[in-house]
Amino acid sequence: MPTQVQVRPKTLEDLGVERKPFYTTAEVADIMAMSDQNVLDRIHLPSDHPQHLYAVALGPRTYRIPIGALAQLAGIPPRTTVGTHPRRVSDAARDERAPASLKKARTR
Amino acid sequence: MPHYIPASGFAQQVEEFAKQLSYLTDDEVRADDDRASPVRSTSYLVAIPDARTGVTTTFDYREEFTKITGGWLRQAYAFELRVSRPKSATLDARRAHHGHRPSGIHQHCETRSRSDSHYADVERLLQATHELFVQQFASGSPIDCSGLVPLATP
Repeated sequence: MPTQVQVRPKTLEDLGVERKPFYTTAEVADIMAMSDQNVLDRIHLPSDHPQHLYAVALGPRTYRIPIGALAQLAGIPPRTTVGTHPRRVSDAARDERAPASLKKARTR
Repeated sequence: MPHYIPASGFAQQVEEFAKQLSYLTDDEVRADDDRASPVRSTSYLVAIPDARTGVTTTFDYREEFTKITGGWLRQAYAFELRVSRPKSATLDARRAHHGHRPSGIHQHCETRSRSDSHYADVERLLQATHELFVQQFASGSPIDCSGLVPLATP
Protein backbone atom coordinates (compact mmCIF):
# COMPACT_ATOMS: atom_id res chain seq x y z
CA MET A 1 0.00 0.00 0.00
CA PRO A 2 1.55 3.34 -1.04
CA THR A 3 2.41 5.72 1.78
CA GLN A 4 0.96 9.21 1.56
CA VAL A 5 3.70 11.78 2.17
CA GLN A 6 2.73 15.35 3.01
CA VAL A 7 5.09 17.68 1.16
CA ARG A 8 5.85 20.96 2.91
CA PRO A 9 5.46 23.99 0.66
CA LYS A 10 8.72 25.85 0.00
CA THR A 11 7.08 29.12 -1.00
CA LEU A 12 3.63 30.65 -0.74
CA GLU A 13 3.38 30.33 -4.52
CA ASP A 14 3.36 26.55 -3.98
CA LEU A 15 0.07 27.09 -2.14
CA GLY A 16 -1.28 29.29 -4.92
CA VAL A 17 -1.35 32.31 -2.65
CA GLU A 18 -1.34 35.81 -4.13
CA ARG A 19 1.61 37.71 -2.69
CA LYS A 20 0.86 40.85 -0.71
CA PRO A 21 2.31 42.33 2.48
CA PHE A 22 -0.73 41.63 4.69
CA TYR A 23 -3.70 39.28 4.79
CA THR A 24 -6.98 39.52 6.67
CA THR A 25 -7.94 36.84 9.18
CA ALA A 26 -10.60 35.61 6.73
CA GLU A 27 -8.00 35.26 3.95
CA VAL A 28 -5.64 33.33 6.23
CA ALA A 29 -8.51 31.08 7.34
CA ASP A 30 -9.34 30.39 3.69
CA ILE A 31 -5.72 29.71 2.66
CA MET A 32 -5.02 27.46 5.63
CA ALA A 33 -8.44 25.77 5.52
CA MET A 34 -9.22 26.63 9.11
CA SER A 35 -12.03 28.58 10.69
CA ASP A 36 -11.88 32.33 11.28
CA GLN A 37 -12.23 31.59 14.98
CA ASN A 38 -9.22 29.25 14.89
CA VAL A 39 -7.13 32.03 13.31
CA LEU A 40 -8.26 34.49 15.98
CA ASP A 41 -7.59 31.97 18.74
CA ARG A 42 -4.03 31.52 17.46
CA ILE A 43 -3.49 35.28 17.35
CA HIS A 44 -4.62 35.53 20.96
CA LEU A 45 -2.26 32.80 22.20
CA PRO A 46 0.82 34.00 24.13
CA SER A 47 3.63 34.95 21.76
CA ASP A 48 5.87 32.14 23.08
CA HIS A 49 3.21 29.48 22.38
CA PRO A 50 4.21 27.25 19.43
CA GLN A 51 0.83 27.80 17.75
CA HIS A 52 0.82 31.58 18.20
CA LEU A 53 0.13 33.53 15.01
CA TYR A 54 1.76 36.95 14.76
CA ALA A 55 -0.67 39.66 13.70
CA VAL A 56 -0.83 43.44 13.75
CA ALA A 57 -3.86 44.82 15.58
CA LEU A 58 -5.48 47.66 13.64
CA GLY A 59 -8.43 47.89 16.01
CA PRO A 60 -9.99 45.92 18.85
CA ARG A 61 -11.26 43.21 16.47
CA THR A 62 -9.30 43.95 13.31
CA TYR A 63 -6.02 42.22 12.56
CA ARG A 64 -3.65 41.97 9.63
CA ILE A 65 -1.35 38.97 9.27
CA PRO A 66 1.92 39.79 7.51
CA ILE A 67 3.17 37.53 4.73
CA GLY A 68 6.05 36.13 6.79
CA ALA A 69 3.73 35.06 9.60
CA LEU A 70 1.44 33.38 7.05
CA ALA A 71 4.41 31.61 5.45
CA GLN A 72 5.55 30.29 8.83
CA LEU A 73 2.02 29.15 9.64
CA ALA A 74 2.11 27.21 6.36
CA GLY A 75 5.34 25.51 7.44
CA ILE A 76 7.75 27.60 5.36
CA PRO A 77 10.81 28.31 7.52
CA PRO A 78 11.94 31.93 7.95
CA ARG A 79 15.02 33.07 6.05
CA THR A 80 16.96 34.87 8.75
CA THR A 81 20.67 35.52 8.45
CA VAL A 82 22.71 36.80 11.38
CA GLY A 83 25.96 38.19 10.02
CA THR A 84 28.85 40.10 11.51
CA HIS A 85 28.95 43.21 9.30
CA PRO A 86 26.38 45.66 10.64
CA ARG A 87 25.55 48.88 8.87
CA ARG A 88 26.69 51.75 11.07
CA VAL A 89 24.78 54.50 12.82
CA SER A 90 27.56 56.84 11.73
CA ASP A 91 26.74 56.17 8.06
CA ALA A 92 23.13 57.21 8.66
CA ALA A 93 24.33 60.27 10.58
CA ARG A 94 26.77 61.30 7.86
CA ASP A 95 23.95 61.69 5.38
CA GLU A 96 22.26 64.23 7.55
CA ARG A 97 22.34 67.93 7.09
CA ALA A 98 22.60 69.30 10.62
CA PRO A 99 20.15 72.13 11.32
CA ALA A 100 21.54 75.65 11.43
CA SER A 101 21.07 76.11 15.19
CA LEU A 102 23.01 72.93 15.94
CA LYS A 103 25.80 73.94 13.58
CA LYS A 104 25.98 77.29 15.37
CA ALA A 105 25.99 75.61 18.76
CA ARG A 106 28.87 73.40 17.76
CA THR A 107 31.03 76.29 16.60
CA ARG A 108 30.71 78.11 19.91
CA MET B 1 17.20 56.79 30.43
CA PRO B 2 20.18 54.93 28.96
CA HIS B 3 19.35 51.60 27.40
CA TYR B 4 21.30 48.68 28.89
CA ILE B 5 21.49 45.08 27.70
CA PRO B 6 23.08 42.41 29.93
CA ALA B 7 26.04 40.69 28.26
CA SER B 8 24.49 37.26 28.75
CA GLY B 9 21.35 38.14 26.81
CA PHE B 10 22.75 40.24 23.99
CA ALA B 11 23.08 37.60 21.26
CA GLN B 12 19.71 36.14 22.19
CA GLN B 13 18.06 39.55 21.84
CA VAL B 14 19.54 39.93 18.36
CA GLU B 15 18.18 36.54 17.33
CA GLU B 16 14.78 37.18 18.86
CA PHE B 17 14.41 40.53 17.16
CA ALA B 18 15.47 39.00 13.82
CA LYS B 19 12.80 36.35 14.36
CA GLN B 20 10.23 39.05 14.96
CA LEU B 21 11.21 40.76 11.71
CA SER B 22 10.84 37.44 9.90
CA TYR B 23 7.08 37.65 10.48
CA LEU B 24 6.97 40.58 8.08
CA THR B 25 8.42 38.82 5.05
CA ASP B 26 9.05 35.42 3.51
CA ASP B 27 12.18 36.89 1.92
CA GLU B 28 15.49 37.26 3.68
CA VAL B 29 15.81 39.13 6.97
CA ARG B 30 19.31 40.45 7.50
CA ALA B 31 20.57 40.90 11.06
CA ASP B 32 24.18 41.75 11.91
CA ASP B 33 26.10 41.83 15.16
CA ASP B 34 29.83 42.49 14.93
CA ARG B 35 30.39 41.21 18.51
CA ALA B 36 33.22 43.74 18.75
CA SER B 37 34.42 45.30 22.00
CA PRO B 38 34.42 47.89 23.52
CA VAL B 39 32.06 49.24 20.84
CA ARG B 40 29.51 46.75 19.51
CA SER B 41 27.25 47.47 16.56
CA THR B 42 24.06 45.75 15.45
CA SER B 43 21.80 46.31 12.48
CA TYR B 44 18.68 44.83 10.95
CA LEU B 45 17.30 45.26 7.46
CA VAL B 46 14.06 44.11 5.88
CA ALA B 47 12.73 45.29 2.52
CA ILE B 48 9.14 44.39 1.70
CA PRO B 49 8.03 44.86 -1.89
CA ASP B 50 4.33 45.06 -2.69
CA ALA B 51 3.85 43.53 -6.14
CA ARG B 52 0.47 45.19 -6.60
CA THR B 53 1.51 48.77 -5.89
CA GLY B 54 5.21 48.52 -6.80
CA VAL B 55 6.06 50.19 -3.49
CA THR B 56 8.89 48.83 -1.34
CA THR B 57 8.80 49.44 2.39
CA THR B 58 12.12 49.17 4.19
CA PHE B 59 12.78 48.78 7.89
CA ASP B 60 16.37 49.78 8.67
CA TYR B 61 17.52 49.65 12.29
CA ARG B 62 21.02 50.33 13.63
CA GLU B 63 22.37 50.52 17.16
CA GLU B 64 25.76 51.02 18.76
CA PHE B 65 26.69 49.96 22.29
CA THR B 66 29.70 50.40 24.53
CA LYS B 67 30.93 47.82 26.99
CA ILE B 68 30.30 48.43 30.66
CA THR B 69 30.49 46.07 33.62
CA GLY B 70 28.15 43.15 33.01
CA GLY B 71 26.70 44.35 29.75
CA TRP B 72 26.29 46.90 27.00
CA LEU B 73 25.09 50.48 27.16
CA ARG B 74 23.52 51.93 24.05
CA GLN B 75 25.36 54.98 22.71
CA ALA B 76 23.66 55.65 19.39
CA TYR B 77 20.76 54.50 17.26
CA ALA B 78 19.14 55.09 13.89
CA PHE B 79 15.69 53.56 13.29
CA GLU B 80 14.18 54.23 9.87
CA LEU B 81 11.06 53.39 7.93
CA ARG B 82 11.41 54.18 4.22
CA VAL B 83 8.78 53.95 1.53
CA SER B 84 9.82 53.97 -2.12
CA ARG B 85 7.87 55.46 -5.01
CA PRO B 86 5.90 52.91 -7.04
CA LYS B 87 8.11 50.87 -9.42
CA SER B 88 11.14 52.84 -8.28
CA ALA B 89 13.90 52.81 -5.70
CA THR B 90 13.49 56.57 -5.23
CA LEU B 91 12.42 57.64 -1.76
CA ASP B 92 8.80 58.66 -1.46
CA ALA B 93 8.55 59.09 2.30
CA ARG B 94 10.62 58.43 5.36
CA ARG B 95 10.21 58.44 9.10
CA ALA B 96 13.32 58.10 11.26
CA HIS B 97 14.22 58.30 14.92
CA HIS B 98 17.87 59.04 15.57
CA GLY B 99 20.10 59.41 18.60
CA HIS B 100 23.74 60.06 17.73
CA ARG B 101 26.48 62.64 17.84
CA PRO B 102 26.57 65.53 17.21
CA SER B 103 22.83 66.13 16.84
CA GLY B 104 21.67 64.06 19.84
CA ILE B 105 18.12 62.76 19.94
CA HIS B 106 15.97 63.91 17.02
CA GLN B 107 13.66 62.60 14.34
CA HIS B 108 13.27 62.98 10.60
CA CYS B 109 10.13 63.05 8.55
CA GLU B 110 10.10 63.39 4.81
CA THR B 111 7.30 63.16 2.28
CA ARG B 112 6.80 64.31 -1.31
CA SER B 113 5.44 67.61 -0.04
CA ARG B 114 7.74 68.08 2.92
CA SER B 115 11.51 68.08 2.74
CA ASP B 116 13.65 66.57 5.46
CA SER B 117 14.54 68.38 8.66
CA HIS B 118 15.53 67.64 12.22
CA TYR B 119 12.52 67.48 14.53
CA ALA B 120 12.32 67.20 18.30
CA ASP B 121 11.99 63.67 19.64
CA VAL B 122 12.27 61.58 22.78
CA GLU B 123 14.64 58.66 23.23
CA ARG B 124 13.37 55.59 21.38
CA LEU B 125 13.77 51.88 22.00
CA LEU B 126 14.08 49.37 19.18
CA GLN B 127 11.10 47.18 20.04
CA ALA B 128 8.64 50.03 20.64
CA THR B 129 9.78 51.90 17.53
CA HIS B 130 9.41 48.77 15.42
CA GLU B 131 5.85 48.33 16.68
CA LEU B 132 5.05 51.91 15.71
CA PHE B 133 6.53 51.45 12.24
CA VAL B 134 4.70 48.14 11.69
CA GLN B 135 1.45 49.79 12.75
CA GLN B 136 2.10 52.58 10.24
CA PHE B 137 2.92 50.04 7.52
CA ALA B 138 -0.08 47.80 8.21
CA SER B 139 -2.53 50.70 8.34
CA GLY B 140 -1.65 51.58 4.74
CA SER B 141 -1.89 55.26 5.58
CA PRO B 142 0.77 57.62 4.21
CA ILE B 143 3.54 58.90 6.47
CA ASP B 144 2.28 62.02 8.20
CA CYS B 145 4.71 64.70 9.35
CA SER B 146 2.15 67.01 10.87
CA GLY B 147 2.62 68.21 14.43
CA LEU B 148 6.38 67.72 14.55
CA VAL B 149 8.43 70.47 16.12
CA PRO B 150 11.44 71.53 14.06
CA LEU B 151 14.68 71.84 16.00
CA ALA B 152 15.74 74.83 13.93
CA THR B 153 14.20 77.32 11.56
CA PRO B 154 15.67 77.13 8.09
